[in-house]
Amino acid sequence: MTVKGTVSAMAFRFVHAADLHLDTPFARIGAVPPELREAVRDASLAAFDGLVDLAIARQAAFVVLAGHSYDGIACGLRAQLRLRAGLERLVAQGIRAVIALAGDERPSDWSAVPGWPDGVRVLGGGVRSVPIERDGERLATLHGGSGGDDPLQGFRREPAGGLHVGVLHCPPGGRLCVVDALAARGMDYWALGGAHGRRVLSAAPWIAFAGTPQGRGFQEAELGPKGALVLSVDGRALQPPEFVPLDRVRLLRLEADVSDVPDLAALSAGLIERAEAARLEHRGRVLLLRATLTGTGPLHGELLRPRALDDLLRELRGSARAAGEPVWWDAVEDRTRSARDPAELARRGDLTAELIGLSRELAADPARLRAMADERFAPLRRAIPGNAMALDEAALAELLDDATALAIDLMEEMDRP
Amino acid sequence: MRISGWDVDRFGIFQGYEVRGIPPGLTVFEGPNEAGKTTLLAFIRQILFGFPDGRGGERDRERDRSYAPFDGGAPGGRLYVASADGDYVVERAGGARARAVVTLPDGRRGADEDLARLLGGCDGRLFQTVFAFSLLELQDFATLDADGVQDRIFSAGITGAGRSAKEALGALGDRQAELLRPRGDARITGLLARLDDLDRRLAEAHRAAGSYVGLLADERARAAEVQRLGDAVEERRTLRAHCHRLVELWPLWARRRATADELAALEPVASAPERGVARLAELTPALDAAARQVTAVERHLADVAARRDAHVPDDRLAGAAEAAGQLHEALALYRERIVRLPEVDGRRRQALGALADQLRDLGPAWDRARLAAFDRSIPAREEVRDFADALDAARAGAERAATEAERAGAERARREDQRELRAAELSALPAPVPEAEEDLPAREAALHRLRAALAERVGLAARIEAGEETLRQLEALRDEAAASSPPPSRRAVVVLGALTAVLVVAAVVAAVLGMVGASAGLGVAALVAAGTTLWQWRGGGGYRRVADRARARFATEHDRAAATLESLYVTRTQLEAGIADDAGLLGLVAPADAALETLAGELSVARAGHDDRAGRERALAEAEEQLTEASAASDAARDEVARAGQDLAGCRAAWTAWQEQHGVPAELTPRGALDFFDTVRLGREALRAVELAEQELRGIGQFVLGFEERAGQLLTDAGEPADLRGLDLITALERLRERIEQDRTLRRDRAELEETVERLRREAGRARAEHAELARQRDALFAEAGAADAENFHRRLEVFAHRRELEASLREADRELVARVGDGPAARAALADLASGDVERWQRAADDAGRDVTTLSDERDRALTARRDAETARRSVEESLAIPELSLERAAIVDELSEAARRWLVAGLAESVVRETLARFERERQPAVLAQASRLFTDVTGGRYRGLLQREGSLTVVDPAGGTRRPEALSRGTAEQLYLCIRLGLATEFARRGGVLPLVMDDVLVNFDPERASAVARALAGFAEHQQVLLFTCHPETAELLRDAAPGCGVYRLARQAEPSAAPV
Repeated sequence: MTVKGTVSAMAFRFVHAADLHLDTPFARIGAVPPELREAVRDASLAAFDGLVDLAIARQAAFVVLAGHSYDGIACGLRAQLRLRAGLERLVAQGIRAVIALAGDERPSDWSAVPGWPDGVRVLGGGVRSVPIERDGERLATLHGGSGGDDPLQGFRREPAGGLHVGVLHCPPGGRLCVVDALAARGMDYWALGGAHGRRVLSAAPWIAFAGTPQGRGFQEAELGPKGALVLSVDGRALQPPEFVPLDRVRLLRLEADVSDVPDLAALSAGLIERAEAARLEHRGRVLLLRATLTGTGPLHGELLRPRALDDLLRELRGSARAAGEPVWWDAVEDRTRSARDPAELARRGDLTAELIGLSRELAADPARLRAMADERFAPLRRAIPGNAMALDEAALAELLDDATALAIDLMEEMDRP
Repeated sequence: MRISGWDVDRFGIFQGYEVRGIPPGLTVFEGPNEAGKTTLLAFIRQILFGFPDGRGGERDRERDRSYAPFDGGAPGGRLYVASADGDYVVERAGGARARAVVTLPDGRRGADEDLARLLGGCDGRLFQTVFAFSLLELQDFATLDADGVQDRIFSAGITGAGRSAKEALGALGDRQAELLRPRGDARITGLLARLDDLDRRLAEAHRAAGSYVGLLADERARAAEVQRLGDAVEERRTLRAHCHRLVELWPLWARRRATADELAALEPVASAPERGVARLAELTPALDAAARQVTAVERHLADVAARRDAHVPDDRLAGAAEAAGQLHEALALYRERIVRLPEVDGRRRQALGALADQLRDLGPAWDRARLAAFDRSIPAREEVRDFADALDAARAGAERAATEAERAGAERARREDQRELRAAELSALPAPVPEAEEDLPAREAALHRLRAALAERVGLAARIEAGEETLRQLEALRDEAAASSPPPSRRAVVVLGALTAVLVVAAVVAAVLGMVGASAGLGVAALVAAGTTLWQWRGGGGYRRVADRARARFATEHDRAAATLESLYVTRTQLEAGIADDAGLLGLVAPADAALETLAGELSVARAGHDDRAGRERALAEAEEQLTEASAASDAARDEVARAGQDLAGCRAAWTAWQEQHGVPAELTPRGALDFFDTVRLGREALRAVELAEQELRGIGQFVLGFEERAGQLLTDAGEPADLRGLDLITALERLRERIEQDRTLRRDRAELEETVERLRREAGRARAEHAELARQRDALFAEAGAADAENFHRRLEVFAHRRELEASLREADRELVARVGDGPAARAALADLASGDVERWQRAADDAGRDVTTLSDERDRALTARRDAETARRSVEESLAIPELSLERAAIVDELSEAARRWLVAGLAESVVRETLARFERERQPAVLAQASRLFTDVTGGRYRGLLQREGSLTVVDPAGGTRRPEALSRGTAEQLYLCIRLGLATEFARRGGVLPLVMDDVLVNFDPERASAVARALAGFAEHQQVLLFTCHPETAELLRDAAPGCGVYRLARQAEPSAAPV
């Protein structure tokens, strides 16, 4: 696209990153082996180091970090010190940096950083503008900040020439993340943060989430390659964002349909083969894999067997370790279902049919289901105080679905020869 | 649904056993032992739900053992099922994995779902438990405890082949207990403990991280104190060093001041020549040696100049030297020429004589000029040779053409004679008849066809006769087979044997007559008839089917034979028409053999005459063609003779023209002209010899004359006598050459002396200049030192050297001062202090500063230790991996805990759902089942028991007094009545919720007393008013009871060993 107004004839690049979450621990993953522990522990810091290297290698004019770079003192001091060291490296190379704080971030979070290097601006509170110049000529103006009832009003395109970049942390679906509203502010590029998955919302003007540089769990947004966006301005044209992966640890979820798999050995062999393919595709990184087994078939009964999943997971991990590759199977999730048709079971008029009918009644009556769950889950809630065991309606419905399937499996003696 | 019949292909003892039309309601199948009642019960179960795979338990194998057909092969068959929406057929054949084939009421093939729907979702286990059971299976309940009975009835029996709800609840409880239990170890409990420990350690790590700002401030304060103390120490050290330096510098300073005073007192000599004394010592001897050199060179120069003037050269000889050298080089050639001149002149005169002889041979008109101009070149000679060859070829061609013309004329005459002879032979033959010649080929063809048709007519008549006979026999066989439909008898065997014989004969006749199709058909029919006869003779069954197949086969063969015969009739008609046409063409009224032979003889004679005339006509045409070719060859030969004569005349005319052009005598032929060319060549060679001798003579004369003229001129220039020739001239020239050589030597010596004089003159000049330069240098040296003579010069130089030594000492002292004091204001101040010369004060100040340094250094070291401790504390917090390590570990435990919690939640919720389902099931269904079973049981026992109750999960029966009794406390018969009533209740309940299924029982009334048996029969009759009941029994009295209870019921009798006699009574 062609940027608005008078733009420098100079060509330059800048890097857009967001949601560094430096040293925030991984979530919802199991224990990793000792040989991979350090890589997983330091993954977010290594990804940030890679971001700095990227900016220097591409001779970027500036770097923007769109919020959630650091999650507070609970994540320790390393993150603050590592961030400052990286910013010093950037400044030493003449690269400016702008950190836009999210609405829930405060400058006081950076307790271990008494001052930022020259050339680094931290934008929080109201929206402010930061000019970026080279050889006395305005390359770009960065607008960023947070707070206020309507922060977007603070983003105003100035008469100054050059590229105008809005830096904002606004989670997708939030009140600020509205493409039309963003586009109306006259920016040439919106460097957004708040989504851990990379996505481009608009090409005119460019509005993009860079995503996090390092995934930290097996939620959908955390999976696959993670990194930063490199933007190139060539004369009057802003080129499409270029994604550059920076993650050192990559998380992948492998779904396997067991419907046509004859036995556990074949299932294991298939998963090992897919892990090898993933390793080749994502070479050079530590891979954390989670398998989700789906479908119906005779293997469902095999998987119901006590410790069947544990044995399978142990075999997968053993295979990866024997190969000496930085691959770790985190877990195997069993989402398989019995081959029996629930509709047919429901027609039988027997106890199973009665159970299916009850399950349907509960699914249609959340209050009744909630009451049953509250009574049943009381011992666990006593053991795990707080809101850790709070379940919303959807989670409760999913539990009911799994519980119904388990009850049917047990009553239908799927695992008895 | 109900069962309306079955067709057993193979199953146990049954093979091809079909029963249809089983009515709704109660039907009794009565038969003795080994009639197959239990087999039929198993057949119904296995056709509907599959053949057993042998994996069931011992009891299952007993109930559902495999019923392999007695004669081998796979079991199979079909059930005919009536439903509200029409009639279905359920068919199954094969092994354990054989699937049922369902035919829908509209004839289409159905799916597994159709069968499941037909069965109301009932599976095999439920069907066997509730709907189709034997006495053994009825008694099975008796071996179970009360809970087992209840479980079978209300749980396993209803859920089909599933684990009981209680077992499911047990498994779910185990799962939960493994994860979480109020007391004792469990997975979640362990994870929570680990999580608590981690959180505690993490809190400590966070506290440490929170102290970072304070640690940073403390470190900075410590660093500032270290800096302050360090500065103070440095200040005291500087003062102490300053005082020490003043004390140390004082001797140096004093020495410098003394040197400066001595320098000021000396005579001021500002400068002195560089190396003055040495330079003066070098100049003085060099000046003396230069004066001696000038004198010696001037003396030598005078001597050499005198010797040069004594050498005087002759300039005339120098001028003649070059010409004398040239003549001396040509002197040998001059001597040779004057000797050879007379020999060359003699050779010229001899050549002139030979030339005169050749000119005479050529003729008077030839002289030296014509001889030289005549062209006898190689091309001319080649042209003459071409003329000779052309004339020879033209002459030979004319001779060959004449010879060929003579031979061609003779050949033409011979061919004319042959043609005349052939024409005479043809005219001697009789004249032909045109009409007979034209008809001859058609008549010959007609005769050939007529002979073939007459032979074919004989064979065709025989085939038609045989076909008519075969048709008659087949008609008889067909009619015979149609009349033999009654059951076989001895008469039928006889008839079939006769038929077989007739068919064999007919097949042989057909084969002999070439009727391959009919023969094969008759053969097959004969085999069928033979087989049928044999089967009948052996008393086997299936006569009717064989007879039908034979009738069909005979009818087919009859139709095929009739069609073949009709085709033969058509062929015969076409053949007769052809015979009539050909006979008419040949003029035969009746095509008898004699007439045919006479006609063949006549046609043969006509054919021979026709062929002879045709041969002679072809010979005459050939002779005429050869004559035409010979005439053409003779005319061509005559044309060639004329053309060869023209060629010869042309060649001769061209030769004559060439002779005239080249001056060759006209009388010469080309061969003569070539000889003439040889004579001219000899003349030309003589002329060449004369010309060469004359040319050589002229050259010698010119050389001798020129040499003598040049030699005379040379001698004249050198002052010698000039008019000399021959040897005298040669002697004079050699003498002149010697004089010239002597003059050249004299000139060389004089030139060398002249060069020596010039060199000595230059050497004398250089010696004088060198002497003057040395004198100038000495004077300049004196002037440089400001001295007038050598003595003054040496004194001034000594003063100057002493001053230089003092100045150097002064500079050295200054350099050492700068090196030790330094530069800048401090140095200047130190020098100023030195000028004061207060050495004692300096020593006291240095001692005081040294004491201060020691005190302050101790304080600074203590501050440094404190700063390092603060730095270590700060670095420890900065580099701590505790938070990320613990956080990572915590995340793993939280994940594990979440998964365990989820599994617990799923198991817990599943337990709740199962419990509520079971409660509802028991609450809603047991009353209905128990009520139905209770009524039946009361009726069956004649009021001995009032009903059934379900209390605290246990089944009990109630006696008339209101007491209760567990089922295991009942007698065997009563217990079986109880279990039968419960099944009837369950079947009724299933009909209400799932669908109506037939009840199939095998001798379940045998243990009942007559009274109870009658009551059960009435109960079954009542039940059968709503659902079909099939009851197998080997007891006629049981059948009678049921007939009494249900007068309209169906009764089938089964024969022992599966005789095909099952039929409604």
